Amino acid sequence: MKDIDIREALKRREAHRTKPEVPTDFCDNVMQEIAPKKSHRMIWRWMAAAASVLLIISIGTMLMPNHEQEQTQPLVAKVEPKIVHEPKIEQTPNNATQNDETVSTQPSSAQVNSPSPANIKPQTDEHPASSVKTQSGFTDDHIHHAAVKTTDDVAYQDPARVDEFIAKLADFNDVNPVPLDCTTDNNDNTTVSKAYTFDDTKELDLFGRLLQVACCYDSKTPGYLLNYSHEQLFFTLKDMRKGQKYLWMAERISGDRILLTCTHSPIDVVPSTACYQAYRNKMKQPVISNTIPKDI
Amino acid sequence: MSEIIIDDQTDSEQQRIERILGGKHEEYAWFVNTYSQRVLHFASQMMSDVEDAREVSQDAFVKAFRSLASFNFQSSFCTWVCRIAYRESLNRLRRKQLHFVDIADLPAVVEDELSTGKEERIALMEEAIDDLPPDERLLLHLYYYEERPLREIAYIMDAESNTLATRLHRIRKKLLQMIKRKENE
Repeated sequence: MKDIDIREALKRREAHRTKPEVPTDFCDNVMQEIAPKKSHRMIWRWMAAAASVLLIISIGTMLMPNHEQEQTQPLVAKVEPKIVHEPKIEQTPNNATQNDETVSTQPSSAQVNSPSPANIKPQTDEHPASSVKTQSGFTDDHIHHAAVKTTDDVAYQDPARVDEFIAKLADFNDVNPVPLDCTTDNNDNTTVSKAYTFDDTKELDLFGRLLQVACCYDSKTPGYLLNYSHEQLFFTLKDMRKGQKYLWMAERISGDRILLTCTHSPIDVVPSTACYQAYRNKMKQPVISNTIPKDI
Repeated sequence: MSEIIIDDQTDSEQQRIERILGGKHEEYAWFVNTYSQRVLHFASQMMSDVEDAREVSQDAFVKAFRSLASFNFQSSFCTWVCRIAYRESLNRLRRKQLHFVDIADLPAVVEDELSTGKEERIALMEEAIDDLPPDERLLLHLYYYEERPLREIAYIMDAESNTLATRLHRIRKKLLQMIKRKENE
């Protein structure tokens, strides 16, 4: 064996040397050193994680373009209080049984000057009361659609559709319209009146059809008035947007025929009833053709 | 260090370490109670003062437990703690500004002069070993007394095995020179 002297010297040295003893509190000291350091590390880890999350959120918020937020429009009512719905519905009769004077009722000044739909104009500040009103009485751009309740609770139904229906029905049954001059003033050409003479057959059932058409309109429609019997039918409507009033009269006349007149005129114009009467008398004559009388 | 040094208790040590990492801190005590004597004895080879050796041992355990998650089971836990204790000892000795003797230029010796078996030579050798710097004395102790393999000593002292072999050769020459100097006194 090499280095015998070194090995022997080390053995003797170890034998003579006093080996140190582990103190009794050695383990406790080690544990005390570990415990507080360990908890500190845990706290720092959690704090570092929280700081990282906050940093990411803040950077993300800063980098978010502003227009991204603006793209999401709030769900609000686009209330445009400056648009005029004129004339107001409350100013018009809405009950069919209210009166029989609808045809001769004089419109108010507001109705006379009512614009056509194409002429709806932004309201000026001088007429704030005629704007569309919310239930709470004021307008607010941030009110939700569901919160907006206007007084215009009647859906618009065009009365001219009745005339269109009658015209198609006449065309299908080869009935020619006869124009009537029912104006009181010769210079007034605003009143348009036509007369149709239909055969009173069960297949056509003109009274029934006209009743069906009349029932299609809401009874709250301005100027709504319906009267009918086995011999006569009387139906009126008003178009507040166009400023027109409509009158349809049907009467069973001799020869199993039905005389139907259709008249529409501006609301403030009172058409003459003489023309109806004259034409009606002629049509009640025994020999009646469906041609235009020469004297009319 | 590519060599893997495994003691008999490695398997159970690994399970205990995994339990510590899982939150069972009571396992710390088992390691301290099992290995504290060996680590302290190791440290005393470097630190002549017993209190210094105890502080080194304690610091070595604390550092080992704090870095337990990084322990890769390349050696036994005790060897790992001894490695840490060695570094800690060197740091302390450097703070005390101990100067190491350069033995690079020592003359060559005959192998037989270190294997005489004479009583006088052994006594002088014992004195010469006490006069060696701590790290050289530790290297002799680990290699000749504890008869640890060079690869394990290299792991503890964080050096290459070939480097330690060269250092051992120089220490032997240095010891022979110191003995002859004592014989001439």
